[in-house]
This record gives sequence, C-alpha cells and structure tokens, in this order.
Amino acid sequence: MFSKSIFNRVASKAAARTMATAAGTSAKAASSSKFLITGAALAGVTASGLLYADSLTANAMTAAEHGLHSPEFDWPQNGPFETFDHASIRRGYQVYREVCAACHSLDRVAWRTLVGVSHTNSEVKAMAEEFEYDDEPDDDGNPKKRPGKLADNIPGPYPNEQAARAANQGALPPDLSLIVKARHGGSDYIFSLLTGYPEEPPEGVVLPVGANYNPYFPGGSIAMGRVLFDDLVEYEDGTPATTSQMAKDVTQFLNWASEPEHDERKRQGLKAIIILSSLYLLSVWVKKFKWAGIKTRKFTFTPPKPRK
Amino acid sequence: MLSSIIDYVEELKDQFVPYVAKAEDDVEDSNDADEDEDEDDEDDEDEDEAKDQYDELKEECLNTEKGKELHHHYLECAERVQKQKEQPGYEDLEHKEDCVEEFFHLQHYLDSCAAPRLFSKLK
Repeated sequence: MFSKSIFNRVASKAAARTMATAAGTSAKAASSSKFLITGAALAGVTASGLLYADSLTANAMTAAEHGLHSPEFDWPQNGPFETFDHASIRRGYQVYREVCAACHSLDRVAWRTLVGVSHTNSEVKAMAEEFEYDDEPDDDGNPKKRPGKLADNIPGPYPNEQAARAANQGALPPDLSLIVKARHGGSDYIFSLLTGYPEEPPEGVVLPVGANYNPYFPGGSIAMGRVLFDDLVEYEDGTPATTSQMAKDVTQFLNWASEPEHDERKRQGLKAIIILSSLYLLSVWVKKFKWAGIKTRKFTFTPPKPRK
Repeated sequence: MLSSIIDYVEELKDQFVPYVAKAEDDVEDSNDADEDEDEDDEDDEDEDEAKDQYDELKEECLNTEKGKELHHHYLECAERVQKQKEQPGYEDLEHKEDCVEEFFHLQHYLDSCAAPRLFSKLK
C-alpha cells in the first residue's frame, strides 16, 4: 500500500514538471539541453522513488539474515604453543559416534588417523571391525563383505545424498570432516550452534514446517534440532556429561578432524622459527667478516702536483 | 427438532471456539500438572550440581543490570507482537514485526558475558 502511494505521488509530480517544461519550451526557443536535464532529473527522481519504495519492503541486510556472531571461547589449542586436548578429542569421538553419526558422515577421516591421537591401535582396530565394507568378489563373481580395517575411512550413515535427504525431510546433513574449517567462526560457531538452541524462537518469527530456530545459523531456521541434552552420553572417564561439556568435546574432535596436522604444524613451526632465526643471526654475524675488507677500505685521492 | 438445532449450534460453536477439555478433566489435568511441576522443582533443587555450566553462567548474566535491561526490552517487544497477533487481519499485514533484533542484543550480551568464563568450568 505505502509503496504504491509513494509511486503515485512521484509520478504525478513528474507529470506536472513535464507539463511546465513543455509550456516553457514552446514559449521560448527550444533548447535541447534543457530537455536533457529535465529528462535526467525525471529519471533520477523516478529511480530513487522506486528504490526507496522497494527498500521499505525489501528484507535484506537484517541481523537475522547474517545470524548471531558467536563469542570467542578459551579453546585449549588457542595460542602459538598450545595443542589440542586429546582427552577431549577422545570424549568428542564418543559424542560423535553416539549422537552425530546417526545423521552426519565423516568421509575424509580414516580409522588409522585416530591411532595415537585419541585411541590405541587395538581400540581403533576393534572399532573398525564393527563395520562392514565391500570386499573383492569371490571366484564366482559374487560380491563379498569384510570387516573394516585401519586403512578404511569411517563409514557414513547413508549410502548417498538422496538417501540422506530422504531420511531428513529434504535437508542434507553436511559431512563433518572439514566442518570447522568450512564455517565462519570455526570452533566457536560450532559450539555456539550446538548449545544455542533457545527454548522458544523469538516472538514473531515464523519457521517453515519441521524447521528449528537457532540464532547462530544464518537465517535462523535450521533443519537440525537440538541434539545435545545433559547426560545424553556416559563418559568413560567420569566427566559429567553436561550439554556444554559434550559440545566442547565434539567440537574439539571435529576441529581435530579438520586439522589433524594441527599439533605437528605448531611443533614444526616452532622448529622452523628457531632454526631460521638462528641462521639469520649467524648470517648477520658472518656478514661482518665478509664485508670487513670492503667496509674498512679507504679511498684517497692525491692530486698530481702541479707542474711549475 | 429443538435438540437437533442445539446440536447444530454446538457444532458451529466447536468450529469457532478452540477445543477446551471438560471441567472434570481440567481439574485432574491441572492437579497433575501442579504435581509434575512440584516434582520438577524438587528434581532441579536436587540436581543443582549437574546443571549445565553454560546455562548457569547465562542465568547469572541475565540477572546483571544490563542483562535485565535487555531482557526487559525483549519482553516488551514480545508483548507488543503478541498484541499485534491478536488484532484482526494480522495474517494479511504486509510487514509483521518480530523480536529477532531484541533477542540478538540480549543473546549477544549473555554470550560476551558468559563465554570467557565458561571453559574454566569445563574439563
């Protein structure tokens, strides 16, 4: 309604102006530059009127559209010399296995990468053997199955994307292998998302059928519901499984899955800095000797004695 | 004849008036609900230690001066929107207000207040 009335007002003003200018030009000698200016002014006024009218109803650049920014948490790996908390990674794998793995795959992570990080060799072997993988066909060409090995990748819950969508009302649960790197805010965002489901969406928010409200998710309407509740899993090390504890652990695990080289990278970086800076200082020291002859030489000019 | 008319009117009424349980059921339900709530309260008191650390911190932050102020703004907005919803012709409104911004302001404050202290409470 409002936009229409504005448009009408702009149009009638414009019409009045054109009539005035038309009368003026018939009286005086026609000047084409006047027409041009009036035309440009008209076009400008109409365009800004339309844009303004559109801006009244346009639903862009709202806070909801961008999602709430997650706060920064004190992650164990923050800081140049800090590593992941590996006990937390181990608990996080448990949360992933018991909660997230029902919908989310972890395609790019192989069982062997867990060895020495969160679990021992025999533990990981036992975990892999619980899953069946395609084997070479037998002599008659019949497909065979075999238990998993360390070299296999962690299997996902669905055989393909279509199956995943069909099981989740059309929403595709993203693969979590690189999710911490794939989202703005990284670990902070994942943690906030997992713990940030309000009991009720803000008043006036209309959600599509089957959607849930989460302020951190851009747009606010997310297909995944709240999954972490207090005491959902029972940790083997006796840590109280509160929602935020589980969210922290599983985020730490996912961060490791995204950056398995993290701890080694920091170690290598430290080594590189130590070696390169000592080599640099050495080169500065050596330079003194290399340049000593040049720096200490002296040019003298003795003019020839004038002939008498 | 009369009974059929009464039935018809009843039916009409059912169409427009939201369904309400019978008085007897109502009493029982409310009793049950009260009991449930009582039990819940007791449980909460018993399990105070097992409460989520983040929720506890956020609650603490909500009770600070700024938290109260922001919460008040949100509640005010919620009330306003609730009133608008009750107005006739709400469905046809071109612009419907929501309280996302007020909610974000409150939540952002709670986050910035609770987040730095949370991880020292987690293992």
